[in-house]
Amino acid sequence: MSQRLARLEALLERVRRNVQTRRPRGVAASRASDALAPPPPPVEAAPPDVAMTPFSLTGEVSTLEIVENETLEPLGEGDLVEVSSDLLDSLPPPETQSWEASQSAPAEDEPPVSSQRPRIAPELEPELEVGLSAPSDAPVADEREPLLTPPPESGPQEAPAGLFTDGGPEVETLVADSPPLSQSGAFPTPEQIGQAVELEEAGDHPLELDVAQARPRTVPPSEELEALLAQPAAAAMYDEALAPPPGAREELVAHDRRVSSGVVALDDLEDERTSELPEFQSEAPAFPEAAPRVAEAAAFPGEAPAPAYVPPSASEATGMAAPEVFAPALPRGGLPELKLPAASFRAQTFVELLDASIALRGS
Amino acid sequence: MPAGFDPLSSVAFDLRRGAIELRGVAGHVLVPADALLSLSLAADSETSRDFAARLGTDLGRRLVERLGETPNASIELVLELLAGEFSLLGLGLLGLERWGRAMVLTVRGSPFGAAGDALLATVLESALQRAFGRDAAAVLLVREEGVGRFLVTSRATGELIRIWLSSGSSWADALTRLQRETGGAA
Repeated sequence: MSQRLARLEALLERVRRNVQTRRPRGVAASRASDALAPPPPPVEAAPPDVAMTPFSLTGEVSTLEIVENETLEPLGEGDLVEVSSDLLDSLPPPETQSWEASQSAPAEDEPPVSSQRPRIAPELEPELEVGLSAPSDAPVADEREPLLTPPPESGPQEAPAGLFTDGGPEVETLVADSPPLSQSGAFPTPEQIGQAVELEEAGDHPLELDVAQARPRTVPPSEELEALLAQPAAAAMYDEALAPPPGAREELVAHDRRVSSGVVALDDLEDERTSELPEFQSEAPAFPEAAPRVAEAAAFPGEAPAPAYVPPSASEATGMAAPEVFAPALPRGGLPELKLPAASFRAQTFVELLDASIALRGS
Repeated sequence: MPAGFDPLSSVAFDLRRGAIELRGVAGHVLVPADALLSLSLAADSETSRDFAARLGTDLGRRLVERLGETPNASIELVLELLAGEFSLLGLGLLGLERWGRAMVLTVRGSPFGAAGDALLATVLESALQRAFGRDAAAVLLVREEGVGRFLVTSRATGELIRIWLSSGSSWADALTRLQRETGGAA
């Protein structure tokens, strides 16, 4: 019994020693192989009739160095030892990864010079190692199930559990962790506002409005010493008591005479010209005949009829002797005819007429 | 200064050679007016205008040959010579009217009728251009009783006259308005 226990402890010691024997390069290579290639196939247990030879791996090249050339004796029924559960719990768990690493390490070794396998450029090796080492920081991703590409007719594929729930944060968590709007810059902070005056809240004081009192309008004293005129009883209205201008009556009588004689049909220029003609002066005696008719009518209501108008003579008006009047040879009995001056343009040559015709402009 | 239009030896028919000479220049043909008008109307406007301009330029050249070095030729003399050349081509009887400052050329009895007024206008423009070096436009004012009246003026005024006439103004009103506005501007 003690021998069995001793052998079992020796076996346990060798197992522990083998566990402690690890190759760093091989582990890194296994991780790289995990990232680049599909996971290695599971190691199948050797048949029970083959003798297992313990070995260790050393060096960068997959060289097997046999440490012990000892053949194990086949176990018999006497070797069966009942181990308590406490002893089994004390044993370290088997590390299959080290075994897998030792198996996959030779595949990552550099091929010989004569090999035709494709090689990685030397300048890309550092970048490749950096990229390969990244998955080591996210061990969760390595444990995910590989996505399988479904056939086109298979329909939607259910995503593996934990694919999206592990990495993304909760929305409620983001909202709860986000700073308030006043601190995020959407609204000005009290420091940005500066010296703000805080208004007191309205109290219980009643509001009172000052009623404007009717104050008498006082006219300021004028500095220019102007006297204010008394306003008439009917302002902005026609005052019947207002006397007409001094020359209004004469102008009205003269206008009526012109209307009665038909001279008003001419324009102003013609009127001025014809008034200068001696013929009009010779027809001046006709004015007193129409004067009584004009004098009978009152120009303004409530006004007494004016006496008949007798125009002063030219000598009385100017104080000079009577002018010499020349009677024109115009036909009597009709209105004087106004003739426009004839066109002054008179082309003598064909070129003059041609140039004048070309020079015609319209707007 | 020439005394007037002398039609003698202006056109020569060489029956032996079957040629027509116009003032000693051979290579002229006699063609029916309607055939020539049909050909002119069938062509595009640019080609028809070039054809009429060629006729007017030759007419102006012959006018200068008859007129000689007389820059101050009278209206009657120029009209007589121009109308003579116009008649030699069989284009109608040319006349002239003065409406104030406006010069209006009249064509009576054109063989082309109203359909050939555009052709006649271009002939007149080109003849004046060749004879007097003036870039003028002949604008048809009216055609009545077989007489077409063409106002000779600038191209800008010609376009204005066309607008006035198309808007309903009579040719007399257009001439009166043109005289008034030109006098107001002056």
